[in-house]
Amino acid sequence: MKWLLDFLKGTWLKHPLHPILVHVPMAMWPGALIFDLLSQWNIGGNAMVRLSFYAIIFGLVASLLAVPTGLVDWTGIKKQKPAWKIGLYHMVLNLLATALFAVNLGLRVQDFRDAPTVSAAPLTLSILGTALVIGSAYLGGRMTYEYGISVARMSRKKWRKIAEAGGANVPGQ
Amino acid sequence: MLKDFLEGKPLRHPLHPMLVHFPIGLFLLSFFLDLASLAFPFVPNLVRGSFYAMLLGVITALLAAVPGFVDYTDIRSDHPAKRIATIHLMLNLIVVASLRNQFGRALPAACRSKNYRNAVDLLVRRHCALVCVQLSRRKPRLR
Repeated sequence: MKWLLDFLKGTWLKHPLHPILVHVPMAMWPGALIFDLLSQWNIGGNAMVRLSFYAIIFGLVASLLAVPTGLVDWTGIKKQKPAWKIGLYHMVLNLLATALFAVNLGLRVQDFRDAPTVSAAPLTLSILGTALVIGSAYLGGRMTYEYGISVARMSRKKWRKIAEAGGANVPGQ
Repeated sequence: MLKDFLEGKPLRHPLHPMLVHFPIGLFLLSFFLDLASLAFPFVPNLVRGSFYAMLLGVITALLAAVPGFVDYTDIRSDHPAKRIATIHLMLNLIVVASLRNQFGRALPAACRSKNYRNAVDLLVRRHCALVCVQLSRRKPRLR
């Protein structure tokens, strides 16, 4: 079991795995919205409709891979820390966004092969889903940059040594 | 003032890591669509889609470069992360420069004429830089 947890945490890569994987949905879903809008403005024709469809699929696949890594990182945060609650909101928003894009994809399956433009219902879902995923990604970023979750997780000892060698007043472990 | 904005101070979140999602994701999408276009030559519009994805990727990469450079200048030169950041910067410049050269009609033409050996060759040249991006992603978090 420990090897699985270590794998999901990215110990083997010396880089947390969750922030790597989330690049894909975070780029694909807002990207799909941009492609939808371009398609609405009659740019790109069916190529743009298809591109949006493929982008949503790629985002969904990667988000499913990102879920277990995110859960493992979240369970590593102590419950009394403020980042725990942010992590909870982050997860709920992501689940909503993923569900919206899954429905969105379902609406497109019928006609993405030859439709010249994206219709109104999937476009609306793209707007909603993108708003959710940007909000959620912002919370995820806050966890890292404001609360230091996952920062120097694998190199803590090295940095401590460097700080001590430089004569810094390092607090005890 | 401008420096504070580019460092993401109003959002209390650095701007560079927000923007880099887009080139990384879009170049990957472009790569997979290129592979799909070789595997399924009968599916229309894959090459065009790959082109659009890459175009948006290059635009967002250039956007991300600006706050990235501001963050870079803030790392002290005696910090161990400075060297990693320099490599990160160089690799990203190589990637964008090499992708920009791909905006010709060579790949679509090779696919249309079913000259797949030529197409694979173009693909490899187009995307070998992606590996560099992934390697350079191990960027410093400590300042």
